[in-house]
Amino acid sequence: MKSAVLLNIVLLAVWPGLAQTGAADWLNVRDCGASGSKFETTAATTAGSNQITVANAGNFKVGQGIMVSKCNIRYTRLNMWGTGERYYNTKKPGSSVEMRGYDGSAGSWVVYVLDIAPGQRAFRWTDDLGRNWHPAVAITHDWQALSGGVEVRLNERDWESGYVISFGARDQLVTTIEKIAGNVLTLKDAANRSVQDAVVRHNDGVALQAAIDRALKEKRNVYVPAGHYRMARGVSVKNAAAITIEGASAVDTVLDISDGEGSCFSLSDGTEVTLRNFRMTGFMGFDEADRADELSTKGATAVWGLWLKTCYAVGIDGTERVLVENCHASRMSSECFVSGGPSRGTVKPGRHHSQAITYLRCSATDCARNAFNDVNCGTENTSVLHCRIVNVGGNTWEGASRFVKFIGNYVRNAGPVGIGNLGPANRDKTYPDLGAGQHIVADNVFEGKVSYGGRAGGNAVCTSRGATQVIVRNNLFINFNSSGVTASGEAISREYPAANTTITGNIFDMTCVGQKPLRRTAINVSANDTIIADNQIYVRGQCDPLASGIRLREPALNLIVHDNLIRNCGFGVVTERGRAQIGEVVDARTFLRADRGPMNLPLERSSPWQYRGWGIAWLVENKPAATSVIESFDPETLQFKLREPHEMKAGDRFDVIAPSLNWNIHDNTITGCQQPVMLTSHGSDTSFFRNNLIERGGATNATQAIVVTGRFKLDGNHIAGFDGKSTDAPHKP
Amino acid sequence: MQRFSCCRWLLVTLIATVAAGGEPGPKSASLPNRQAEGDTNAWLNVRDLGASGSKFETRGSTTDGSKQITVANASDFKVGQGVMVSRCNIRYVNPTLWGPGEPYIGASKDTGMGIRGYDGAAGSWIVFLLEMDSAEPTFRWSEDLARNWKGTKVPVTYDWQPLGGGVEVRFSRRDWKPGHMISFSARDQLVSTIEKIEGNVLTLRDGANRTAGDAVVRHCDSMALQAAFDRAIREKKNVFIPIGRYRLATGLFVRNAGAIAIEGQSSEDTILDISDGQGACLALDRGTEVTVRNLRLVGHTGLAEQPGAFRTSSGFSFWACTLKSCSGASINGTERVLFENVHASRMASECFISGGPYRRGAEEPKQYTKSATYLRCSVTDCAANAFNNCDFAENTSVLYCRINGAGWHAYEGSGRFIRFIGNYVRNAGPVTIGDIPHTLPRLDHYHDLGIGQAVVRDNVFEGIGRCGGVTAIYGTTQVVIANNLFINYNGNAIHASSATVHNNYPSRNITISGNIIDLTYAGEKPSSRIGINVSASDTLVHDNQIYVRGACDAKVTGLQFRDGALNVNAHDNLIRNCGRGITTQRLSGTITETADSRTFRQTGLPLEWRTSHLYRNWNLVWLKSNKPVGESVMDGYDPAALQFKLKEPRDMKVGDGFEVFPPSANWNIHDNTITGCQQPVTLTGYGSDSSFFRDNLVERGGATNATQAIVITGRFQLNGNHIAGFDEKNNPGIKP
Repeated sequence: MKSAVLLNIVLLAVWPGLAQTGAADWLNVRDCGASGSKFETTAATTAGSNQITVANAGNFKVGQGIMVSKCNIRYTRLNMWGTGERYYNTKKPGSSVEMRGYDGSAGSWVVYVLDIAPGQRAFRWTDDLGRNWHPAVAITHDWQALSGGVEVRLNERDWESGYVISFGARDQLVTTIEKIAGNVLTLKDAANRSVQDAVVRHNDGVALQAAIDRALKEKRNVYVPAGHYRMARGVSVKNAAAITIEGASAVDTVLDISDGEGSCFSLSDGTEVTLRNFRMTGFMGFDEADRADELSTKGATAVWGLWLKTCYAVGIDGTERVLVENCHASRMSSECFVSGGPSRGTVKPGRHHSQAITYLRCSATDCARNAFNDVNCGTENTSVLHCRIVNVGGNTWEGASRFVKFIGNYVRNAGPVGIGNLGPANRDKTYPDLGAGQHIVADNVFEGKVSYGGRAGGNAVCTSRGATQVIVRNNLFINFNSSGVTASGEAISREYPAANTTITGNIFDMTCVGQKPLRRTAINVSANDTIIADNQIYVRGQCDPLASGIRLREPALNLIVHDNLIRNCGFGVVTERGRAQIGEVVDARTFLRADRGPMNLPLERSSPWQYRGWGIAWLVENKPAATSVIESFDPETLQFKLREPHEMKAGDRFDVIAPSLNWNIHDNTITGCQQPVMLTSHGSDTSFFRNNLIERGGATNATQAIVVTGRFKLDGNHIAGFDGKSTDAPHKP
Repeated sequence: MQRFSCCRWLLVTLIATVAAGGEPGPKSASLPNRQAEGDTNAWLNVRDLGASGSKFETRGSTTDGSKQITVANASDFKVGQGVMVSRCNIRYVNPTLWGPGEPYIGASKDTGMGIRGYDGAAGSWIVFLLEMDSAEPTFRWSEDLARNWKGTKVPVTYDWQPLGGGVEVRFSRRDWKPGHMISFSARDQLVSTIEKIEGNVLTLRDGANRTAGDAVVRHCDSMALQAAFDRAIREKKNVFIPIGRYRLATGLFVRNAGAIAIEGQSSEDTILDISDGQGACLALDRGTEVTVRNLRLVGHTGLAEQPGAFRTSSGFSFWACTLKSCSGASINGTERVLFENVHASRMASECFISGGPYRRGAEEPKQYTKSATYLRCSVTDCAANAFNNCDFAENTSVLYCRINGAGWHAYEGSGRFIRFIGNYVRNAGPVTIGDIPHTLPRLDHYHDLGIGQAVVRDNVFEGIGRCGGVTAIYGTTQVVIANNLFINYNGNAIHASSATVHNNYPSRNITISGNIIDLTYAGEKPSSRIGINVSASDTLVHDNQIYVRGACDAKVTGLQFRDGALNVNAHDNLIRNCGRGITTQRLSGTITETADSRTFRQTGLPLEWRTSHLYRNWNLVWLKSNKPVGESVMDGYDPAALQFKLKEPRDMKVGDGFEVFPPSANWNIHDNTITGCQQPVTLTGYGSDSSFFRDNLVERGGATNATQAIVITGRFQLNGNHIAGFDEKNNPGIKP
């Protein structure tokens, strides 16, 4: 292919007439006006004038796009959120917010966030995405100064209800060169500020867009020679019918959106787009992961830094068949590679939904937010293959989508592979019938630790909130100072718990090397229908008290845990109580579970009968004080009804006791652990712990092989190396 | 080629241009650098070699006996191009005599049949199939690929006899037997080359044989593309196919390529269209390496027009698609093959198929298919198989492909070292591993090297339309079926079968692990379906999840095992909300032939490998009206003669039925969880002294009408099982 590509480019460059023959199937963006040049110079601008005087007219050409800093004060993206449910709380600012006065002194793009706590008519504010908050000042309804000369005026509104306001202050002029006369460039648009030291740079976004549009029209491919292509905006690829956009070099063909906004490539609709051999670079690196994270605002929830200042590498909205190969993204503030759009249930006739996206040998490094993301359930058959994700401040992968393969990747110092996250906004009416979040996560290597939002620790792989049919197999965790794989059954009432997870054949080396050791668990399960088999979990050398092997939380139903090898962990196998709290009391027998705190009383709409006879142990000072029995669960109202009345109030905490959990923990080997086995949850009639081998190994201070306080049936376990009197008869209920 | 031969000069010009442009920064020089590394003449553009790539068509009038046709619009045609002209060239092609036995053995072109009279009224391409349906002789016939039979029991007169569309046939006199078949195609298409164009008159190389005023004249790019391929191979170049629709009357051969790349400009708009033709769009024939990229291949028969299959009057299966075939690609012995981003639809026959020489133990052919990879290809709306190894090709990999609509198998193959990984499959027949071509005898090399070794992994099977699942059957060994997802599946998910037909062998050595099989189905026509069905020996079934969401579905069985499978280890499966959780079946046979009072042949029992147990000391229970009427013990089985021998004589006759079970089956079914099932465990096979069912957890779950956790009638050793939620008195003999 390469030869053909190059050949045709040569022909095209010299003999454009050939395009008619079909031989010149490649369009070279340089021939469409793209500069690919890093050249920059300084200029003097005058407010109101579209002429600028540059120090050096360099390689600018008439018709090219440019970006001129400091000379075009403007305010972008005025957004407002109120109190109310997360992701459903946007508000229209209308005329209630005004701003003025930016002097450019704080940089080319400053985002201001004002946070008005409920019940107050005062705001605190930040100009660095929440790293530093300036103390609250009362709302005066007059101009009030922030930084960089910016003043805001908050007009009459119910500010005491609680709000968050954000807007960007920018000084950049994005326009086109219309004339060059000596050192004077005449632009299509005028500056609105006079400065002497504006920086003038190329903006190739316009030319790239023109090339792509033309290529789409003429059914040709696009070739991007080596060069540094600055972009004020990304380019869109709409309704393609098999287009390849290929860089000359994944090292030297650079799409640079660091002065811009949006997605280097936005694909929408159409069939088949291939992107190959690009480097894409944005403006927010790993060291700013905290700024791209959710801001800790009081006036509204779910305000994310990444929304306020965005750049992506590739966005896909309803394109079928996409191959992104050998593309390397860094310093993106939002997802590097993201897909969304309609699903098979919502796609309009004649349009597509995203299907069969393959990311092959790509990388995301030094990024503030997610590497890969399928935002909702609509995308199908995404494959992330043999990619590299290093120093990424958000998720390595986040997928509410269907039939995903995340295989053969290398991950270090990045956030979780998050599976599910099927909140109400991420799923549609096809979800109950088709499920979503089906994943195969296999053959990956995770090294070091998890890092998310600037914080170390967390789960490397997490299936939660509606994911079903997830296989996590044959992954390697190396020197892992964070938790490994979690299957979570917790979900708020508008979501679904995850289920049907298989975790097999993984090797977790939980040795902490050269870092501050974190509390961590290799496999952590609270979701129904989980098989955990043939995993190795160990710490090299000495037992690490902060490392746990396997934690199982009630009331997960149907767990099979077998033939795992756990070595040198502080805790080997631990079972934990399921807890939840009352959200709302309907009557003396009826309550709704709270959507906060521990939520280990899942709301299984499809099998409401299962709750009949479940026990509740009411907690007083964290100790079970009284018990009740659940009579029924109504899948419509989500109300639980007790057999007998019980005095309840919102916030009351309780343990959840399922009479039959179907846990079969057998044939595991636990050696060298300080607390090898802790069966300290409630247990059930069908909670089995059998034929396991528990050996002291190197854990010289371990005193008891098995601690049992719950209802577990122990049988055929082999205990070796422990003091007879504490282990001969492990405590049985 | 003129254009390409001047490239070196152009290259120099370009470098000069760039330099003169004073480009300050980036390495635009890398372009010529890379250019210089390769041979600038490495690619042939098929348009430069006469291919039209045009879907232009026009009307024409033809005159019987004349090479000249008058067209409505000649603007798109050029001298030297191929054309297809409909309605003007009545001909009968592919006459074939089949049977009367196995039709796929010894078919002959010598039909002796006279054919005449096609009037073109029934279309451009009609296939007639005639089959002797009695010894009279009489015949039945079809003109729609055996979807329907027109006449039946039509007496053979040995004179002209009318069929449809004006066609008449005359049988020759020969010893006609039931099962004899004659097939032929009646066509009206003229495939020729334009020799001259004058105004609206095209002069062709060949004359029409029918006068028609409404002929459709289309381009035929077969010849030009073939010439380009041949030349590229000769000159060691690659082939570039620009955007366009390339109509083919016959497929294209890629013969003896050294290493050739055939690349379309666009997998959406570079189309090889064989909808008016026959053959494989790309027929790879020997050679060392062929790479095919970015093409769409379109044929003439979609899923809805799937040809019929039927049993001949002598009892053999026949698939009529053979008679009007088109394929995406075929491979005959090419060593290395890569198909990447190639998308086929509407193929009548196997979409991607290999059939060629192969290794027979130590005997290795000079050249055979050693590595064929299909990467990110798709098969949609096709009448037959999506992928097929109809040979013992080695290392075929189907990776990250998409199958949406295949009338037969998603994959079928007796290839060796197969990888079917990461694919998405819906509305397709099974991924069938094994399926030794049934026309082959019991070859020694099956023993030496095995066949059908496969890894089937990481695939998603969604239950829309046909739900074929994955089947290991007919001779395969060493199959791993792991980590596949089945979603809303309305069919059998995984089957490890010992069945044998004709002369092949039972499958064995199969590992089925880590699959998540969701058998929920709420649509129309729910099937009786099984999550994992095992009758093959040496099978591991572990760590699978098999379930129905919501309420238990009575039509679903979780795990099923059949007597006769030896060495079955089934553990740690999670089975939920199935009508039946774990069941066992008996293995039965019927006598087809008796040699003496101890010796018989039969149908039903697998025709075992010569290295197997050979049924020595197996127990045999004779049945009458499904009731046991006697017992025998098997002395053994002769895998060459396919004969079974009893220790003691017995009065046997053809048609006698029996069941068998081994003295020691080595079943270890342990640590499974079965919950929410109506009939959780049914151990009603014969079992054996070494059939263990232990440490399983059987819980009532949501199955409120379940009365008994475990039903046992066979010899199974139960130990350490835990039964919960069932009334104890209904579970006699179970020690909880």
